[in-house]
Amino acid sequence: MKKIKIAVLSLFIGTSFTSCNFLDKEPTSLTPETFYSNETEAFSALTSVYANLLQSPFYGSDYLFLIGGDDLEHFGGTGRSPRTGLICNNANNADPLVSALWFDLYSGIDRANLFIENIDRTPDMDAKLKVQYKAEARFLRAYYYSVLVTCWGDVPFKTTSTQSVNNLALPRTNKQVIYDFITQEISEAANNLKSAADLNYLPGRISKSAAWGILARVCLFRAGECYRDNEQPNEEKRKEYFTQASKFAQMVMNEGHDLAPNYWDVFIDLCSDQYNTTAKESIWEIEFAGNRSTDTRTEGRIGNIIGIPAPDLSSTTLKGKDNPGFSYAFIYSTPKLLDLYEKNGDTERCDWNIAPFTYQQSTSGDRPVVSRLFEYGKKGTLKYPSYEYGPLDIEKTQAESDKNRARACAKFRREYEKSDPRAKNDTPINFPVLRYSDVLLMIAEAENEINSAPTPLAYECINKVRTRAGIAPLANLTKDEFREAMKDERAMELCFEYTRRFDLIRWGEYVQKMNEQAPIAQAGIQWTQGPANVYTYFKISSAYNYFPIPASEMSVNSEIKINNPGW
Amino acid sequence: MKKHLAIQAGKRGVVLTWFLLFSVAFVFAQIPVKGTVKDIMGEGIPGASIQLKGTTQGTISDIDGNFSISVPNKNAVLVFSFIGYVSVEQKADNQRPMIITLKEDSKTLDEVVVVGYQEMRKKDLTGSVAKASMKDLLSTPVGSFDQAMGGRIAGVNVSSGEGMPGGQMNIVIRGNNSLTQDNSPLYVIDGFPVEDPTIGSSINPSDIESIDILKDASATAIYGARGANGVVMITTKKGKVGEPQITYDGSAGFQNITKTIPMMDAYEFVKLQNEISPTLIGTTYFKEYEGRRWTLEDYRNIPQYNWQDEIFQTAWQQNHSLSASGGSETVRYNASLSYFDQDGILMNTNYNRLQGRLNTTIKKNKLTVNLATNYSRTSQTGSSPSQNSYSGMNNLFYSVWGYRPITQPGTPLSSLKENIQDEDVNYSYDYRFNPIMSQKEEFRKSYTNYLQFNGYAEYEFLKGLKLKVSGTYTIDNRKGESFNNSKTRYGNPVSADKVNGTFSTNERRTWLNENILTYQTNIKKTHYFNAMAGVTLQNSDYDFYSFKTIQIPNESLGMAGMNAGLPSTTNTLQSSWSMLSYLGRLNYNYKSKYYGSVTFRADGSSKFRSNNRFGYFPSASAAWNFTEEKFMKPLESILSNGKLRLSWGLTGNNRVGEYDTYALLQVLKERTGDFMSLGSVPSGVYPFQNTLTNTGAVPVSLPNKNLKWETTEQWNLGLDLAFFHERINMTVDLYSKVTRDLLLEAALPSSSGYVSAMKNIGKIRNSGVELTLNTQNINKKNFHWNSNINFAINKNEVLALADNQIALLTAAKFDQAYNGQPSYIAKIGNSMGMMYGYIYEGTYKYEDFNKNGNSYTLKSNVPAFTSENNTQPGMPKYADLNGDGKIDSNDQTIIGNGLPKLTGGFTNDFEYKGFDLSIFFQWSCGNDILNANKLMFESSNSKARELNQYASFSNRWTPENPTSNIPVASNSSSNKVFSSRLIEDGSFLRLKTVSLGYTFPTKAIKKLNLNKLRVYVAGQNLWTLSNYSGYDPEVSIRDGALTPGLDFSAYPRAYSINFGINLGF
Repeated sequence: MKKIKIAVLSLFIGTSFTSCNFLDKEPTSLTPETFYSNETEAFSALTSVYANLLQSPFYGSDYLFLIGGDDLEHFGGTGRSPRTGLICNNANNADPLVSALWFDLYSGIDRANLFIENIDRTPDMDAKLKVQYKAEARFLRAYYYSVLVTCWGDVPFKTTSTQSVNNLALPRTNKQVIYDFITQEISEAANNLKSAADLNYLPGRISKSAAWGILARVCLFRAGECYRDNEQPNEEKRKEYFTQASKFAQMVMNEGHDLAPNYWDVFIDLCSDQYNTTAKESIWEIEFAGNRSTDTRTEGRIGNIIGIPAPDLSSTTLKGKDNPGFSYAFIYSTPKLLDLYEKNGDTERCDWNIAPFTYQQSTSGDRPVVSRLFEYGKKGTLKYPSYEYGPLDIEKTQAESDKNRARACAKFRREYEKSDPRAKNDTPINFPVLRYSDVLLMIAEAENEINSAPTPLAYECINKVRTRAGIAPLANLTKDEFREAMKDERAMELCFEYTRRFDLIRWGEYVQKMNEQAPIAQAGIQWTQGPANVYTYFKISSAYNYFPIPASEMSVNSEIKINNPGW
Repeated sequence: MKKHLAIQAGKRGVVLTWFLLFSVAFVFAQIPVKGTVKDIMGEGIPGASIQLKGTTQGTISDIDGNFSISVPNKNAVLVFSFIGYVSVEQKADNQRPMIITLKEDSKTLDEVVVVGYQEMRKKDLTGSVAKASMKDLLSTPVGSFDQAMGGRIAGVNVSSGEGMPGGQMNIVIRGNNSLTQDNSPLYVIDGFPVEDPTIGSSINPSDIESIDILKDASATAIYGARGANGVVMITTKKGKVGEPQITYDGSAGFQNITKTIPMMDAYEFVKLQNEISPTLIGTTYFKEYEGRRWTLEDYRNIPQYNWQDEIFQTAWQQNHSLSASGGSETVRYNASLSYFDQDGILMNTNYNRLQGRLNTTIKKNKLTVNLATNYSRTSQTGSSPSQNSYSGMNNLFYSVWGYRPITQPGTPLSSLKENIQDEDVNYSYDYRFNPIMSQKEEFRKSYTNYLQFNGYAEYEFLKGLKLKVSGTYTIDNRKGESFNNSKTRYGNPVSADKVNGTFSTNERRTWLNENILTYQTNIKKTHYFNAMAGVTLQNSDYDFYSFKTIQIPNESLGMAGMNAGLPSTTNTLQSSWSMLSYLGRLNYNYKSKYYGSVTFRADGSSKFRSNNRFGYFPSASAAWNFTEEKFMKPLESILSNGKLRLSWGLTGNNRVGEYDTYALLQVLKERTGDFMSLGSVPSGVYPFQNTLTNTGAVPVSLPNKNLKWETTEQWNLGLDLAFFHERINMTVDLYSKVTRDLLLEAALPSSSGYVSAMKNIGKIRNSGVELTLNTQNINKKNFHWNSNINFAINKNEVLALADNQIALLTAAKFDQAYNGQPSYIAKIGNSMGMMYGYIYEGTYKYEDFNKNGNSYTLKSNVPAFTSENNTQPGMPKYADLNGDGKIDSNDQTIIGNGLPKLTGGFTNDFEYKGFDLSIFFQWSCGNDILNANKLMFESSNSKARELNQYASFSNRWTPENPTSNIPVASNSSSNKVFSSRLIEDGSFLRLKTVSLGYTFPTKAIKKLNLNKLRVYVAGQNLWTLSNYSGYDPEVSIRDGALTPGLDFSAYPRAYSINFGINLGF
């Protein structure tokens, strides 16, 4: 028996050496519980809330396709087959770009929620800074919701962070509730944000101006919601939203912003890693940086997806004007934009926004770019600084130019990038979310609607924009005339800045204006910049007023049973 | 010619038991006895045991079978035994030399199988345990044992995703239990449990004594939380008492591609180019050259390349293994060294392994100590051509098949070979790369250093009561090196990173301590008891580091020049887990007639929080050996053995991350585009004022504090029958297992801010039948013919998924254009791994259109593909399943089945005098292959300019060939979807192994001081019957429960012929 006892006892010898916490293993990664231990970590957490802005589904790349189809711009390029997606009018509710944007926005919202819940426990941190950081996170959360509402309408809504893997199905909340939240949240947060001046007019961080300007944009969109829902406009409500829009936009006017002397100044700054060098025009930019030579990848695709077509010379050692930076040039204007500029005698914005030239390569050696082929009448007329190729530049005849009035978007130009040679696909070009000229045009629009006629303030604002562009100021217009002029002005000033699609939706004109382009594109006259079936991109249905709720959400969210109309 | 030393590997365990039972002491006796132990052929048997009955005294026969022993008196009885032979008892005779003839024991029921923590006679099993025949497995030289296991054992599905040397084998036992987690079995190597399926490659197959597969829950429940996927028990060779045995096994041979895929020749290629871009062709292939305009006819018989001929090679392989073993009762040893070296049939691919081991057992009184060590270093050159990268155009076979066969007039053909890229291809949009150059220049090496120390001490307290304390320590160190110089796909001057190199290393260090107490006894030889209890502790630490530098200035230095490049990605990871387990087993049998067995295991794992930390896994089983019943005795000459088995048990699966129960934050520094795939997270970096250093910690996972084991409940009903004195042995098993609380990377509503989380959710059922039939068809003195045939049918059914989910759609990743498109579906009520897409109805024909001038508009009653803007004749037509007049994503359905319905193998072994012949067929039935290659090579799209196509595309729809159902060459978006056009039958019947050997008679080789000399020739993958159009039907480049049977740029499978020699000294 004794031996048996010994045998049994010795069985457990091994275990007795191990302490009772043998099975406790602490994670080797960071956890939310241990984070926020100092100011640096708090800033790191805030950075991650901003980070959702530059992801590829959003401004980093795919947003440029997602909302890129309108009556002024389309997916183009000779012989290019259509993309699958909203921009080519062939999307479905499983569109990966749509699902990815949805996820990115909600990821940002959850990060903001988490940040707002935890920032206060950061020890030894300046109280004012805490308040500022929190206000930035609250603004970003509201901004992400505003993008969700403008794209999808009613969406799941929550203001607390996700903490469990269970019971995550959330129903759609009426968009009016979310609008109220956005309005209150941004106006409150703005009080605690730094002013643009305090931020030295560096538009990467959120300032009071950015918050008020974006809120004005949200209010304007809200005023037009009735159109996409086919509801009778409630004029009283509309007036209220226009009044709010005007109020917040006017608050920006006191923040020291101004228009740059030249229209292109702000875009050259965007492309060359500079900020507001000539005037404080840029209010909020999504920042991109780098040339793919480091571990940290924060480059975007602006200038590459959307830009002047340029050859890929990244395999060569060519630099500077020999190699102005590769661009696929997926986004082309419709002839309508050129018509608009010509009708208004607007050459400065025209020459900048739609390329009046294409690059010409040498036929020998590494095939550097050696000259430009200009549209008729454009050689030697450009006013902005750019690479000069000199005597080899040539010009089309008028007949040749007239054959094709659809041109590539030229707002974002890689030749101004500071790093040289430039990476093939990835650019440091920032995206201009809000410029002062947009604020001015919003005031003009709202004032005209509130007062049922253009007020002096409305004229002052719109004419400031027109004067800068070098075209005649407006005067003596009726409400409707002013409204139409304002719409054209927004088109000429803000094209390719991705406001057009939502402008058309809030004006209730999106489906109609798009379909108007279809027969023109089908006829092909003056419009050869696209595949033969480019006209089909414009034959959208009213379903396109909204994005589809992603199939990936609906398949696991039992609370959402009905998609947006038509999807 | 008998096989004295020819190793009946499966039976060696018997010897071990024998020697454990008869501890031989010194011989005191007085009467000397001499003699010879022979086999029925009259050949001496060396190493046979001669035992004085009822004592522990004995000796071993020498090389010629001679022995001498002293016995105490004339009535002493000697017991003669040898592995694989029936023991003989005979009275000692000191008058003349004794001649003892041992007969071969053909009975398999006395085989010993290794079950968890114990060995058992096969006869006494109550669960479902299969033993692999090492003789069959080793009949052809393979790099690792698992490569030879396919089709050998019923219900054990062994396959490899592609034919790459050293490629990982996937073993699935009785169907997939888990949807998103690993389904490979637990490997237990000399008692050491390993979850990593690549472990097989670190073992030299000829060092393996036995492989036992534990299939049902009564067998696997002793491995509790890790047993649900079945257990592969590997026992390596130990020394045996007797003369030193030195063996050398060597072989060398070659491999070759089994078939190539017919590609378009120059004529068809140019004809296609003309169709794609008739406007351009006048300046390209039909341009004016040497004073005349070229036409299609000029390309009829023009010199051209077939790139497959250039990239495949006859590949050599060699295998050497030297071992020595032997010992006395007190010290036994086994040592071996081996080298295996295999080139791949794709140039610049290789796999080799250097391995050595030493195993020593020392016995003193009641204490037995075993010390062993094994080291192996494998090195693999080349990377898999099917690896997932951003674009499928980066995959090797895109370039091998797609590189054009000719150049335009005036451009020398050889320029295609000399230039790194095809100069007529726009490499901004098409990543085609000179396939020969990229394969030659790309440097990819990975090394595995696996070192294992183990030892145990066993003490026998009382007769039958033993305590075994063992400890194991392993270091699994891996290293990866990759270098892309300026002539490679990823390092050429066009690439973003330019010349670049990556180095990575990871190491897993694991220790295990096991303390096992066993007690064996019987009451009056009627009631047999066998009890076991134990405690085990295991801890494992892992770390991973990698760094990359880019824009390296001096590429000639290779990896050594990495320091001069710009630092790029750095990755680090550390993790650790531990496990504490209590286990026990009780076996009982009554007169070998009624058997009962219960096991229990409690596993505690650091991967789970304290509330769910321990999982409890019981099992119970019973068997009835009905042929032991009196009423069966009259039938004994027909039915010599019959046993009915029934078992039930619970097992678990813990294959989750070490810290999956926690919310984790991570610093992610790269903006990613692949957001909707499970587990993906947006990065946390934002460059305020263009500063690249502003990185943010982002929440990457949700906490699931209640995460616990996945539990599989399995029933098994088995019947073992042996007829005609075990000439025919049959085993049938029926099983049904339900896996609950599936550990699932479950999709979440992304409105939560997360795409997925690890949850215990969902339910899977696998049920099936396994049948194994062993027969001795002919058993004559000079001629033996044995057969083994096995069948397995498994039915897999998804019973539940994540909340509200009726189907789980998965996109098998191989190209960014398709990665967002689901190609597989796991739907409730169906099997997992079903292929998903549109039903292909052929092409749109002229009659589907209204003709208006030269333009064709689809008739209003003919459904069109919604994302196709401009449907034209010849474009692909899909079924409008819901009849809504349009074809869109709602018309997708199940279009194929990636999992086989019936699998099996058929082995025939013949022996005639010295010759042995083994023929093995393997089959798989009812599974489909998703041939994604056809999306690019039997379908011309916008990228297709200058891209060669499969020869089958010559028969595409054209106005001249308007009945064809292969789509027209056009820029069509409806070409770019998954449909039944890509689904092919993946069933196959394969002559997997044939080996023919000759063993020289002992007499003939004695002069050479040899006791064994066998030469052989062995062939593998010699013939395959299959309708599959790709290289090989055994293909699955994203193998797993959800995405089986995908083919895209897979490494082709080779056939091989090897010549070998077995020498015994």
